[in-house]
This record gives sequence, C-alpha cells and structure tokens, in this order.
Amino acid sequence: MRIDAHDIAVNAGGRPLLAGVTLSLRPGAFTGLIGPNGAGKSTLLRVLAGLSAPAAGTVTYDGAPLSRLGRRRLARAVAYLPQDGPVHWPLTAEAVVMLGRLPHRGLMGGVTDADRTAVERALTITDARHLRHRIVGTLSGGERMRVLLARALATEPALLLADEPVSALDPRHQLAAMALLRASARGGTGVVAVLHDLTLAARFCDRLILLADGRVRADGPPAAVLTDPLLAGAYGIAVHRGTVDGAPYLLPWATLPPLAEKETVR
Amino acid sequence: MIPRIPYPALVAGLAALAAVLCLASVAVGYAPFDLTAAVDDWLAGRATLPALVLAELRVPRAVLGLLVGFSLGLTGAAMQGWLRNPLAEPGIVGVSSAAALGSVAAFYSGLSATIGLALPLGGMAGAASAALLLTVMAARGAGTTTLIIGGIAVNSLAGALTALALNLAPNPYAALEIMFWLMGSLTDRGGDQVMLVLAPMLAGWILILSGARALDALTLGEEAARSLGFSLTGLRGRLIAGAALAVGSAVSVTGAVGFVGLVAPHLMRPLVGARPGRLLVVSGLAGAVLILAADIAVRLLPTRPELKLGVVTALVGAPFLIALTIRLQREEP
Amino acid sequence: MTGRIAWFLAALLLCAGGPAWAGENTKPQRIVSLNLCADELLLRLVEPQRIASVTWLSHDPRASTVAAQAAAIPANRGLADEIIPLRPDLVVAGKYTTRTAAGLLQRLNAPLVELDVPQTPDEVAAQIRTLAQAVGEPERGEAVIAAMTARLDALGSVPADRRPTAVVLRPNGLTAGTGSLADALMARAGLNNLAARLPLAGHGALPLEVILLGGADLLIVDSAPDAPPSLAQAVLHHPAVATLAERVRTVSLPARLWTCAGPQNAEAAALLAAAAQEMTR
Repeated sequence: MRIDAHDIAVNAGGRPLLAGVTLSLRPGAFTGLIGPNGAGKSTLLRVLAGLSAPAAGTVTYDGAPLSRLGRRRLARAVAYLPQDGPVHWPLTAEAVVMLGRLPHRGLMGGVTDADRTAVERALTITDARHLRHRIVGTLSGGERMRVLLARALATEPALLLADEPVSALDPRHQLAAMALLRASARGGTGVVAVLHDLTLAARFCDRLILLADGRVRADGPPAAVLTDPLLAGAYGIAVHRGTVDGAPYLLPWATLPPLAEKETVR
Repeated sequence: MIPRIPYPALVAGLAALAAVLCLASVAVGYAPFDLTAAVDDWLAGRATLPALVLAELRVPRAVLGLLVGFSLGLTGAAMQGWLRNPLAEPGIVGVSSAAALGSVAAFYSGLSATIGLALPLGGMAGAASAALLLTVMAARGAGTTTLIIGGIAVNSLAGALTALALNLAPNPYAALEIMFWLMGSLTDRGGDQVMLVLAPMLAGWILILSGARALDALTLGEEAARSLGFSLTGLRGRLIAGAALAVGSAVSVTGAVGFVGLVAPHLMRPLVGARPGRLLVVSGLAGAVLILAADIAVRLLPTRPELKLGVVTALVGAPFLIALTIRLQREEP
Repeated sequence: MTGRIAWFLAALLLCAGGPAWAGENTKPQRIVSLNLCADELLLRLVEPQRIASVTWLSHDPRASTVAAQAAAIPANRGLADEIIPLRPDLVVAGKYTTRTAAGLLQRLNAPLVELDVPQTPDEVAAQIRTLAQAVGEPERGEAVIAAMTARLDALGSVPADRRPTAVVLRPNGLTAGTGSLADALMARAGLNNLAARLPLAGHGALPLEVILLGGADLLIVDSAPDAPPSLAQAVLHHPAVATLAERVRTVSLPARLWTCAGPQNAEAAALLAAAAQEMTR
C-alpha cells in the first residue's frame, strides 16, 4: 500500500490547519512526523488515515481514492493508532488485540487460525504475551501502550499511522517503543508516527517530515531535516549536538527570540 | 476473577432458563387449571375452556414476556455499547416513555382500532424521536450527566404529554390508565398482540445484532472504530431503527417496563469479558428471564389487582442504578 | 382558588335571604345534581326548567339514559366553584362522590340530599320515594315506582334448580359481585351469579382466565361498542372473550341500564330474564 497526498488543505474555523501538503508514504520505512504544537501533525495523520476529508487536494491509496477503495479495504491495509486511545470496557488485553482483526473478519464468521496467529505475533512483537489475560484498565502506561500497539499490528497493515505513540511513556519505555516501531518497519509494515522528541526522532526514524504552520518545511533523512536553520525556523530553538558511538544525537538547548526566528525563515 | 463460562454454554444456559420460565409462566395463574389436560386438548384440537385459556391467555402472555424482555435487554446492551456508558438504557434515556406516548396517541385516537399496525407504529415513532434526540444530545460524547439530565427531560416531557393525552381522550376510563403505560403489564394480553409486534421486533433485533462488530470496535473510541473499517453513521442508523422497532413495539403492547435494559447488560457484562458484541444476545436473554420472572412474581404476590410489571423491575433495578451511579462517580471524578 | 371562594362567600352573605334560597314549603326551583344517578332520577321526577345543572356525564348517551333531556341543561363537573354561582335551592349528591363540593355547599346552607347506592329493587324504590319528596313531587315518584315494580313483577320466574349461571364482564375485568344491585337484578331475572362462587370476586376485578374457567352458561357483557378506545374496554374484545362468546350465550347489556338505581333497572332485568327463560325452555 502506498499513500499519496497531493496539495492537501484543511481549514478549521476559517483558519488553515494544513495548506499545500504533498507527500508519499511507502511500507518498509519508519517515518517521523515532527513539528511544533499546532503545526497540523495530527490533522495530517487523520487525513492520511481517511478519517477526515481534506478541504482541497487528494489522498489516494495505491492510486485509488477512499471512495473507490472502501473503508473496509482501507482498514485492512492502514492501521490508525489514536493518541491516548480509550478502552471503554474492562476487556482483557487479548480481547483488545483481537479487535485489530475486525477488518479481516466476515459478517458472521468466527475467529480463524489466521486471526489467532496474527494476535500471537502482535503480542510477541510488543512483548505483551504475559499481559494477555489482564484487564487493560489495570495496566501501566507502558503496558497499555504495548497492548494498543499490538492491536494495531494485529491488523497486519501495510502502513501504521500512530499519533504520538511514545509521548506518555517514561524514557525506558520510550526507547523500547521506538525500537519496536523501527523493528516493525524493518519487518515490512511502514510506520508513520507523530513525534515530539527530536532526539528519539533523529535516532530511530528513517525519514522525517517537518511540518510548521500547516506546511511541509522539510522531508528527508533525519540529517537533512534536523538542521539548525530548519529547527530555528520551525521550532524557534537552538540545539546541542554530539555523537555516541558514532551515532549523532541532538538536544534542544535554547529558545531563540521571535525576530531571529523570522529572519531565519526567510 | 470471574469464572469464564464458554460463550455458547452461556447462551444455551440462558436460553434454557428463559424456556423454563416460559413454561412456569404458563403454569402460573389464578384459576384452578389442569395444565396437562389443557395441553392435550389444545394439541388434539379440542376447543375446551382450559385449551382456550392456554392458547389465548397463558401462552401469549409468556411469549410476549419473552419477546419484550429480549427486546429491552438487547436494546439496553446496544445503547450502552454505542454510547459507551453503562447507564444508557431505553427507560433512563426516555426512549421507552416516548414510545408509550406514541402508543397512547395511536390507541386513544382510535387509529389503532381501524389500522392495527398503527399501535406499534405509534410506539416506534415515539421511540425513534427520543433516540434521535439522544444522538443530538450525545453528539459530543455521552457523559453520565448528559445522559441522566437528557433522560429526565425526555421522560418528564413524554410523561406529561402522556397524561395530557389520556386526559383529553374521550373515554372516561382513559385517564386511569396512565399506570399501564408508565409501568407496564402483561395482564390479559393476547395472541393478537403477539402477532402484531412479532415481525417488527424481529426486524429490530436483526438490525441491532448486525451492529455487533461495530460495537466491539467502538470500545476503542470512534476514531479507532472508523479506522477499523466501520461506518458510525451506518451503525447509528441501524441502532436507532432497531431500538425504535424493538422497544417501540414492545412498549406499544405492554407499556414501558423500566430497568430491564439496565440490569440485564450489567449482570451479563462480566460473563462475556465485557465484549459489547457478545453482550447483545446474552443481555436479550437475560432481559427475557427478568421479565418472565417479574411477571411470575406479580401473579404469585398476594396483591390484587396484580402489581404492574414496572413496579417489580424498579424495585430490583433502582438500587442497581444507585449503586452504578456511585461507582461511576468514583471512576470519573 | 381560596380567593375566589372567599369572594363568593362574601357575595352569598349579601344575597342571604334572597328569593333563590327557597323556604320550607315551596318546591325547589334551582336544583343542582352532582351525580349521574341523581341526574337520571331528577329528570324523571321534575320539569327540566327546575334543574339548574346536571353532571357532564349525563350528556353522554353511552353513560346516561336521559342524555336527550339533559342536553339543554348546563353541565357541571362536581366543583363547588361551578355550583355556588347557580345559587341552588337543592343539591343532590352521591353519598360517595364529590364529597368536597357537597360538604362546602352544606356549610353554605344549601339543602343537600345524599343518595346512597341501593343494592336491591326495594332500596331503589325507597330512594326514588325519598328524592321525590325532596323535590316536592311525591305523586310522580309513586308513579315511577309503580311502573318499575309492575315491570319487575311481570318477569317470568325460573325454577331455582334450573337457573342458568351467568357472569358479568365489565370494562377492566370488573364483575358484578354479590351484594350489588346487578347481583339482585340477576337474581330477579332468574340467574345465578357466578361471582358468588369465585374466590377473588370480593376484589371486584377478575383476571380473564378466572371468568373463562368459571364455567358460566351466560356471559353478560357490559359493552358499549361505539365507545372511544380504552384499555379498560379492550378487555371486552380480547380474543379469548370472543371465543367464549361463540360457545356460551352472550347478552350485551348497556351499562346505563344498571349502573344507576332507577326505573331503567327493570329494563335490564327484563333483558336478562328473557335470556334466562330462553335458556331454560
């Protein structure tokens, strides 16, 4: 599954949330969607997932628009993991993960072997097998995140769109979750994740898309996107850089005055 | 941990219990009655008085109890899944009392005397209006407060309009009949009522049951449910139509029996691992069990004329509601 | 409400001793009835011009035997507010109905006659006699009683051992219990009342199955086929009743003929007696 977004615009209350966004997504890569608050990251993710229609522009899935593809076929190919996704009833972790199989199940048919295998695989990847009989409401934040991720992976989608999957986690679980998403991307499922932590984005993602004020400011490998001018322009920050065992890292270090920010943009 | 009963065993057990209560309901009555002789006569086609009582009074009463209970339990479970709130129930949110209002309008205007189907249709119209109003109120999420306040508003309005309609009705008995419509009863119901509501109820059940998968998906919220391939507008349409068909026709022949749609899903939820889709059929069966048991109870209790069904279900259900409210308050401070 | 009553009380004080409040010897000229049964008797005993108001029920031909005569007379719904401005010189009320209005009127010194609920034809005759005296028409009273008694006496008799058993089915599943006027009229017509042997009859309302399984030979349905719909009357159209009606003899008896005490009771008894005699022939 390949998603092509062309010249997307989204407005809310007369204010543009997204304007002229054009990008393509393919399986096999871990893409980070970064940008300051209000840049339109979540909005873009929802448009890509087919959950809200853009005011202008087109989104196609393998060349077909959602109206031609159908929501059900899209659901099998693209999984969406909302931010702070609720679990309204006291379901067990296993039952929640099984919900990820719904797009594959017929109207009447029961659970198939393929469904069970996919659920096992998702629980294994996310290291959540021991949680399967726990009620989701009783899990810690990290455990819950893994179960919800397993739910999305159980669909066996070509692409997983995740809205801030690691923001609520402690550093240890953040590292584990990012590694998991990268592994998943290597395994064939393309991952697009909204991220706030630039350090994690720099280290784990194959590609970064930088959004600011509803526009794509940069799109490419982390090294090409996380440059001083782009970060100053988009976030209004200066960063501290270094390397650990040859891998680069960066730390947000200082805010820049608004004037300097504008000059840098030009 | 609650002992896990396999789902098919649970369904079979509840169905068996409902069947046993149906038989008990047929056996319980006021007049000395030789049930076996009546059954023999009926099967042999001998139109004896006991066979007449069996065929025209006791069996329709039991069957109607089963149908109405299933409709209320099923609809309660569906509404809870849809609004993701364990307090959602046809009685509390006002769907039942609006259905009573619609039925009252159809009955006392004389419309249903000319066109029989006008009675359930009136009930359905009332139920559908309340359900539509509920979707408007719950458009931005159905918190407990929204549900309860909206329910109070709809229930008061429908109750007042029902009282008004009954007072305006030309028959002097009408004004005294508000208890039937607000509390519900299976007394002296007959086979004609069963035939009147059977088809619309079954249609309602099918519509509601067809939403089982979508209700499961809604556990994860509306966005996730849509991303799993479900159309929420489609689900909403099916549930409103299903609730209107099932509850509207149920109320039009027995009045509004409260709390069944609240208690049945609440009791069954732990037994199906809280899965909203699986909750549907078992809640329907549990609703049937509750109504049948309540209807046997009103005939065994020594109060004459017999208690309205809603009195018994409220005696059981209202404490449930109080306990649930307290618990929900602790969970969502 | 209280304000209005106080206003009326003041107005009445001013009018006290006025011509409308009749003396002992004159016939009352502004009679007000608060009870359907009183309406019916009054309209048989006095000229309509002397009746100031009757109950709204007597305007309904389904409930009343005097709807035609009552049509021209203003109706009341048993409220003191309605009655006081009429300045009645006689108020007739039921012993068990409209107690508030009757009590208030009594305190205002309007002469009040209370009608009990008679349980036998003899008590009916006594009641007619009392009321006729109160309205100053004893001769007309005696004439009405004589006609009724003659009609009842003309009813043929049925030997006690051959009497058919009958059961009355009224709206809401109510039956005619023992000790009621209907029970006495059934006895006079030569019928045994099934209610006497039914365990629950003391409660008035009977479940249909009790009526069905009681084994009556005659079903007396208190029907009003053209009545507006009500659940109470829907019981009378239950399929089980319809089936029973095909199997045993059924008499449809308009409620107005025996709900109230009066000469019309003889007509009810005659209808029942005709059925009883036809069945024992």
